[in-house]
Amino acid sequence: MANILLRGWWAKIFIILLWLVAIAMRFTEHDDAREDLLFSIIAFSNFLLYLIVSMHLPLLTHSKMAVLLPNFSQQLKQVLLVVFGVSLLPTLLVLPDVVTWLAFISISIIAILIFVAMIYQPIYQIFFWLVILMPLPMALFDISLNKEKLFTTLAWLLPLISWLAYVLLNKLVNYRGNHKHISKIIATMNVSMGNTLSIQDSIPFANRTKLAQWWGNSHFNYYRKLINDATNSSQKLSNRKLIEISCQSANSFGVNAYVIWSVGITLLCMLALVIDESYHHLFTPMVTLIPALIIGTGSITLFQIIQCKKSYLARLAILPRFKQHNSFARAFLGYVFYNQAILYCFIAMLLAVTAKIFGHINVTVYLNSVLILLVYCLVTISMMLLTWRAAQNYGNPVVWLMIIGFIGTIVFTTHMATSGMVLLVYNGIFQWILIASLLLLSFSVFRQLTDK
Amino acid sequence: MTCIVNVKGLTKSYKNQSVLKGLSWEIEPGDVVGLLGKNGAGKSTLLKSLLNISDIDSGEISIFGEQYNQLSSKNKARIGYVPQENDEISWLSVNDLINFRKQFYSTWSDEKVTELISRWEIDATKKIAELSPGQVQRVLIILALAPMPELLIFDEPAASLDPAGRRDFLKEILTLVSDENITVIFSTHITSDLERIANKVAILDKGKICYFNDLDITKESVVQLTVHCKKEQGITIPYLLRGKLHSQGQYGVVSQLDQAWLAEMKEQAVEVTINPMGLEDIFLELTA
Amino acid sequence: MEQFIISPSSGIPIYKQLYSQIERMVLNGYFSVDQRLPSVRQVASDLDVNPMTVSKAYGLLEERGYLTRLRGKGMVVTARDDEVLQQEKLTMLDEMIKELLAQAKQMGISDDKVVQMINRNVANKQDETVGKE
Repeated sequence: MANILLRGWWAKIFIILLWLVAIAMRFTEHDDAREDLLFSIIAFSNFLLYLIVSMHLPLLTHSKMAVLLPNFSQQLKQVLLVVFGVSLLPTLLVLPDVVTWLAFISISIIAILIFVAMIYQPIYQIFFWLVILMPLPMALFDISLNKEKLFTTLAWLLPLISWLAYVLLNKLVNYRGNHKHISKIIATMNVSMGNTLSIQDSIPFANRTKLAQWWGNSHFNYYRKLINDATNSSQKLSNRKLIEISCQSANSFGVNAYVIWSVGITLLCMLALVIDESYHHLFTPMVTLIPALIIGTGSITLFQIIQCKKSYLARLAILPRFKQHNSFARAFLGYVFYNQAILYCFIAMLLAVTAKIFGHINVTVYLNSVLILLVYCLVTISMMLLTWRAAQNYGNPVVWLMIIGFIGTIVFTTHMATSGMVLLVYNGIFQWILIASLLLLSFSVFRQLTDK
Repeated sequence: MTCIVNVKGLTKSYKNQSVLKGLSWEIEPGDVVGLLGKNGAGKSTLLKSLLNISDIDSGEISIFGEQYNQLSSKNKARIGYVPQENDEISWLSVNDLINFRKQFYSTWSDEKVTELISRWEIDATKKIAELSPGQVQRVLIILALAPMPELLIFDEPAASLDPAGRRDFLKEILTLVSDENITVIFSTHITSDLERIANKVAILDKGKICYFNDLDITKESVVQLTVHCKKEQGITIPYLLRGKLHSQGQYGVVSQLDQAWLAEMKEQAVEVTINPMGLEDIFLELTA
Repeated sequence: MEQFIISPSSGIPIYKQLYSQIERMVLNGYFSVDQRLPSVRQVASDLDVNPMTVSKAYGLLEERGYLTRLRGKGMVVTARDDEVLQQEKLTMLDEMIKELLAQAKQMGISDDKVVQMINRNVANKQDETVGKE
């Protein structure tokens, strides 16, 4: 059972690496400022573990055989408790004192409850947004946060929280409800990381939530309009546009996504202008998270889409309009570059605006962030192209690589922002990295154009 | 004799469509019951309801004398089930899946698994998603047989097996039936499989078990009759399902052969020819 | 050892098919007196049918005196006096003749004609045997 819940080598390796890093830091550094970082690393790795486990849970609880397997519920409960217990072991080594440790357990349990609730009942996804929006009410109602007090409270609350968790756990291992929603989760968890998107596209329209229906419709309407305009006028669609239209999915990061994010950011900025400047730092996690979310969804979805539209694109490539040598490859490259360029320009702009308003980063850090993102962008495009060319399907590891690389980029960027580095363009190592990623990209473009 | 499965007044509907309408059914130990029914008659629903896999609207079901939704672990271990659609985790290898299932049973037979895996030529290192539908079905059958159950429930077990695979599967079930006193319920629409291994046949039609009887008795009593008589004689055939009059006499299919009536006909010197029917025809006649 | 042939999809129950086959085999001497019949399991697994079906056929044959169940040996062909055996054979033939006459009637052939045909066949056969000698 544990191997089903903890599926995925990439994720496991990543979590264990994080644990090792945390333990190594614990024994090498004795700086007080490190405590917070350590806490974040261990929280992040454990939360990732809990999220993975809770995402795989429906595979067990909602399998048909679950009711028929003798002692299924008890065994599942046992395994879950063991996994939780093991996940706490590294924290024992890493966290500085008993109170922090107990508080950490409380926080973990709460996080697990939220994760599981989010998976089993989509309505609880609201918790996720509540946590992100937490700074707002704190800013508005002037609640000051004392970390020590909070931790002590959480530590004292642990018996109550664990009792609640145990009651809910007993319910969970016997839970069979909400079949319609869970079957979607199971379908997603039943495929490898590289295909999660295409499986979502195969969910029948009527089975999607109202929001998803509206989102998909408004997204596709734009492309329907493109096609209609092209048929009504004598002007043909360009090759690049044609590929762009073929590479759309209900989950694509499209026009409406840009609009919604822009509106959201604008609202946030307006809010920031209204409230007192001293609360701005409370928004920092949110304004850091938003560009991260956009890059994550924007580049990984593009990768997954071109990966799963491979055979469709191959059929497209034999159309008469692509008969000219390399015309398809060029149009395809055009599409990928165009798509990603817009995404990163949007991010750069967004970062500039939020930096100006919230002042959480200065010009140097801003420029550095943009440069790092540029490298990330070049590398992911190369990965996309190389994977696309590869005969075998490397979709799964590549998505994980992209996620890990992405998290690495974020961590590095925040670290850089706090340590006040000089402009990266003058850094020799960075220059080499930039050159290397450019070379990698040229190589992948070259392969794309030459290979038949 | 105590029944292994006892169903009373089972009803179940999907949205506004009622599938099972007050169904009652009793299965005795040692029976090999073939459940026949048209597409959409609710065979799968019935079997899933028995095992608490799908919820029911009302009715009572007991298995091994226990309420179906409160089966003890001991009794759960005595049941083997092969579902119609495979919903096993597709990225597990056959070996992983076997090990996963094994941990729940104390009666698990490794020999049985090894033997069937090699006999049915299954590559146990392959993932479920990489197997053909027929191979997946075989794996599901192995998983159901491995804990040495006493009650086996198969939902269209042979649907995706080729003729050779089907025959081999039947052989395996027959060995089990003759070695142990196990009870088997299987739904199918391949009547020839049923004719070989079942000793009882049940027909699910219009939400109820409309026919449940010994297979041999069924074949002996549901027959075609040709009555050589004149129209004026006004002979009516008892238990007539469907009949036709023509110049030479009457032709008809009966659900039961009335011996008294036969004797009466003999007295009247009316000749009656009895033509037995295959199960497929019997099924079609009974559900027409 | 595929001694028996059954057709599961026919309207005649499998146990009856087996019964009449074994009955005939005993009467025509295929199975000699005291010969052991294959076990229920053996027959069931050869024919891929439910063992209960086979034991039903065996049981019926035992009841009618064709077979005897011997402890530890299974079913053997019963030793019976020639008179009884003769009687059984005649009964069986009688059934077959009845069936023949019924078929003939359906085809609109009179009983007399059938008798004529039988006589002619018998005559022909005698001629053949004479010719051979």
